[in-house]
Amino acid sequence: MPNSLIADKFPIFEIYQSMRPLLFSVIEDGDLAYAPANCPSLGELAVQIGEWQQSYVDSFKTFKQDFEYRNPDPELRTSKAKLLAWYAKMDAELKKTIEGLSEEQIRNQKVDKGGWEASLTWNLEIYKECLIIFYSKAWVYLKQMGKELPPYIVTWIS
Amino acid sequence: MTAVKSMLKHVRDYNNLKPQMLELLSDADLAHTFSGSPSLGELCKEMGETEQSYLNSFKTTKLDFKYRNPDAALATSVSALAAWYAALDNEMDEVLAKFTEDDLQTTGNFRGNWEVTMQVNLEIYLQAVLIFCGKAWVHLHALGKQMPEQWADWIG
Repeated sequence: MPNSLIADKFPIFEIYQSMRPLLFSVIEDGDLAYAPANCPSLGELAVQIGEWQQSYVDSFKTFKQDFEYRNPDPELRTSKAKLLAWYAKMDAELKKTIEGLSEEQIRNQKVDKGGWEASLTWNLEIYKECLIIFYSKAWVYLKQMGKELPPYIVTWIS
Repeated sequence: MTAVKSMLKHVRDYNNLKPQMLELLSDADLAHTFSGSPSLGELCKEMGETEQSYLNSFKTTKLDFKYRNPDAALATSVSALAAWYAALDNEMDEVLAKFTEDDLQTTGNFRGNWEVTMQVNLEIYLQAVLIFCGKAWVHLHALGKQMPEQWADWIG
């Protein structure tokens, strides 16, 4: 029987998570080099959300969070295929980790975020917000590149 | 902390991102545009209209996005935007402060033919604030602005 976080929150969370490969459906490798003035490239933004995701995956295992993790593969920021494979691996790891949580942990365990704490449920919500922020930044980049965005992205982010 | 008080604190924290951004801007900055997107000023006006729509929904349990502020000058004036946001945020605070725990679980026609609870409706409003901030972040960086601490922590 799935725990309450998987049963109650994860289905909606997966809807937000599914927007990432959808966004990438209009991105090619060459697009990842694009950067508005004074901004990171789209590829660098894509690596950053992956590094944030890894920190969240780790937080559900260790119940501590920092954002120090950096992926050492320099090719990620220029390779759509590598990014999508990395994301898919972390998505599976996140779900498996959350599936392994007990109800007692879901009720009482807090994640130490360095100065404040979040319940496990709230921690998942905050990661969902990180995805939303990434989609919003990427929206501006993709519109500037003249990309036609998938209707689902237009509905949620426009 | 009760769910209502917790939600009220969240809303205040998220709404605070808006005046923090406006403090960085001049009227001329509001004209900043990326091709294919609204100007920063138009984005700010749209955020205010979105906030008004959600504020209406907190009172009526119905949400639509038809509201448009007739004052076109809002998109070109930092002081006008700041005053408008302050009025909206204060009214939202007053409305939400009167909510009971039961009110958060009221279901309403918030999303057209998609019924959700008031709590979910509030959470989606907070997401709308983050969507605005994510888009504005690109403009702020392009303008060479230094991010306030909460922006650096929350938006990146």
